[in-house]
Amino acid sequence: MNDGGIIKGALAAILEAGRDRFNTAFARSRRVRPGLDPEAFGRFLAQSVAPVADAVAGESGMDAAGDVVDELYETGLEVVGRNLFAREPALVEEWTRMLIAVAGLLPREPGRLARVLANVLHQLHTTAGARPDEWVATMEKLGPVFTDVRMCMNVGMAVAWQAGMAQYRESALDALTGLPPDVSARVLGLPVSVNEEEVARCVEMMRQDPWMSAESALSGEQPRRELGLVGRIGAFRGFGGDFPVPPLVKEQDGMLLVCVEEDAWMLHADRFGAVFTRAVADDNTKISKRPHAGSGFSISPTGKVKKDRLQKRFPEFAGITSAAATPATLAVTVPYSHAVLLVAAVEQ
Amino acid sequence: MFGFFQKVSESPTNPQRAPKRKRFDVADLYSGPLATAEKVDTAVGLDEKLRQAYFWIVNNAIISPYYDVEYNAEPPRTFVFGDQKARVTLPTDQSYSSFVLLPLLNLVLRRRCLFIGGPGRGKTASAMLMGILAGYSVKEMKRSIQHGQPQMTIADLLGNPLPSALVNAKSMDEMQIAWRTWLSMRVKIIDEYNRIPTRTQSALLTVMADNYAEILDQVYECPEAAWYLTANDDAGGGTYQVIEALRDRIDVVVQALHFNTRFIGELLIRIEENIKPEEVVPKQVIFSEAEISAMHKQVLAVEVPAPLLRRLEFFASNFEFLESGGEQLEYRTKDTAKLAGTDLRRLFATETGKDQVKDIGSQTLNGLSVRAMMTVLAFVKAMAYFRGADEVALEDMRQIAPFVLHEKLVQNQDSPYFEQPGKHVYRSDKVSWIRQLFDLSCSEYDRLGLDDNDPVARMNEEFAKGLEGLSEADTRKRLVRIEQVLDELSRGRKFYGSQFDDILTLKYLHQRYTNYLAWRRTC
Repeated sequence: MNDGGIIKGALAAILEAGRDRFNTAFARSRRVRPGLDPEAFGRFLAQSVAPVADAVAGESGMDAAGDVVDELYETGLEVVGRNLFAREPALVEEWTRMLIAVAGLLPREPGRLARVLANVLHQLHTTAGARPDEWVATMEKLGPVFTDVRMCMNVGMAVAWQAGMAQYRESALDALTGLPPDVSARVLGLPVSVNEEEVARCVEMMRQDPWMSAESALSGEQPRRELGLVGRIGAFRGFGGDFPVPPLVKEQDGMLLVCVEEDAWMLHADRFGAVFTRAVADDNTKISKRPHAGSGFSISPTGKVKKDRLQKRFPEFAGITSAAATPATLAVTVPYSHAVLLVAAVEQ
Repeated sequence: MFGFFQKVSESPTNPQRAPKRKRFDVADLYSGPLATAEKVDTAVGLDEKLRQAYFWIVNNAIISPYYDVEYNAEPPRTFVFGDQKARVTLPTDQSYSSFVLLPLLNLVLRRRCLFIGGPGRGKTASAMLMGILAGYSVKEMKRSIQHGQPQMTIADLLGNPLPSALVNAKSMDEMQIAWRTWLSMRVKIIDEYNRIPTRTQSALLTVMADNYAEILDQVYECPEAAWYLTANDDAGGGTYQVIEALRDRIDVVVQALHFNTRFIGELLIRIEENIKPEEVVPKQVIFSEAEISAMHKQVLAVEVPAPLLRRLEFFASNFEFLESGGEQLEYRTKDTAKLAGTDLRRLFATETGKDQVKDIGSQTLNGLSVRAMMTVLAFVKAMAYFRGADEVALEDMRQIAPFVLHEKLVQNQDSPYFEQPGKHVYRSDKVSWIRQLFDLSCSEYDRLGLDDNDPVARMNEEFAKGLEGLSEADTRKRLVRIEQVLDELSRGRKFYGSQFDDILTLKYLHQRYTNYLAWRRTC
């Protein structure tokens, strides 16, 4: 255990054994990064590296813990020296929890795994709408099932998708079909007794319908649905959003594109969340107040939306400025709002 | 610190074109402020790891701000200083410090590298760094260095018989030797080898040349190793003449250049912060034995294009020939004269009429041995490999050959060539001298148009296709052609070294065809 910055346990022994080497590394790093604060680095060692070293030593022995400490020490010099993650104060604590959760795997590729996990957390923290705390909690629960680093990274990607990183949907679904069925089941929240064929069917149905739940996909039955407002994404730049003026939407190559003046973003949306990623608009595709006929959606000027046999009026859609749709999702913009409103046929 | 060593440079962010149905690149999820080094695949990427090792050393370990191995992608700018017209060029392509580069190439090739230079210039430290890159600890390397000194015995170097074995052994077979640990290492360092007494040098020669050590009929087979030897100048005393066979085993010579005083600040920081670079070599640039072996194989697979090989042949052909060295053509060599104890300088003086300035052979007292040529080929392949190329380029040969031939080509300091204005510097700067020799050879090669007009090369190629099915008539035609070429060559008034091997080759081909003809007649 470590308290108040005093280092004890496995880390203390490892640092003592390699004292000259670690001190030289610190001195060298400080020369290149004069902002490397010894106290801050000491806190990092005590609060992050020490518990991980204890966890690894408990799982795999002191030699393995030594290798892991070597890598985390170097990484820490960079993190603290460059003041990385200063804007995400919770990140280092979450990262520590993750490293403890994968303590059994760390000795295999300590440098790479630690850095990848930190980068994933950084991506989650810096993506509007993503939920890093949810990701960490899920990964902690799943930690004991990881048998190798690749599985950990693939599961991490799938869980990141479910934590709001909708742009990784396709890759996450691909990854799920490559995992052992019990692991995929745990990620999707299904019974662990599902077999490979059931997982594949479930994934395929979710691939076709981004608003379908895993349970419904597994059952194979179409659930009862109704049209609903599933998302309100985007905000005024002055309030931390991306848009200086109200955006417009259009459909381009089967994807939803959000346009503001010269800029464009691709909109990724599904039942787990919605995100924007930077894109380039094709000038040949025009903005319209009506979604194209192939999507199955229609919308009236008064805000009545129809999709197949479903219909619903959305009063907030009065005076729409643009509308675009994919077969699964309708995106609408209205005057005086910097958000993009999303409608889909969701499970009741 | 190591974060930015590991950092892969990121290209500027480009806006994404809207895809048809884009599968988002998951690498974006894993990338971020912390660079992630990918695992090195032994099939690809080892040359990149070698380059990373080089740059880590020059950026963090050895202060060697020199680029004396120069490459140019386009004509460089040059500046001239002083009344001796000292020229500096600014290379336009990635260039390297020989002091760091050549020991690395030696590590891959597992050859023998000699560091020369005054005391305290980092020769031993550089050699130690190579051992650490090969996976040894600092402690292991320090304890394994063999320090040359005038009282060094063979036992000091190789080991001692176990006292119990001395007493109990009833025959030489039963002798047991406590071999020195350094013999088993894959990086071997001999410090100040010119302070080893001559008798012990012979024992060292056996290990270096044949990779085994022998004491009292007991043999220890050593693993393949990269050797690093250091030699001080003679001013300190206590040095021995290095036996020629041992000197000849040196494959590449690296000079420890002077310390650039503009970088004294770096030394101060190292003192103040007790920085020891050898203690913090990143794992990413440490090579396993398997990786070094894999690199070695990859180096050997680098091609030497035929036209370039021909230039090397032409270059090497200039040196052995000595017209007044003997009567029979095969014996008209510097080696013949040397073996007879004749004064070569006196023989050179008898070679009247030949342009001693133009004849680059007059600048050396010896020719190139087989071993020297093989070493040149190995190192130029390694240089091309280091630069990430699949085949050797002319510049690779031009840059690296001088370091390999540094101890191989003995300069004839009395050659009139060095009396020319500006050429006297080559008496001391052997690297530039050998590079100049190569350039002169290439100029002569181009003047003779040998890329397009080389009858001997064509005849060699023809012969290499084999004699099977060759008719008597065709054999005779070839014999006539050989005699015609010899006749043309004999009309030249002067006989230069570059023709010597050609003539002997033609004689060889003539003899082979003659024997074949005789055999055909008996069938």
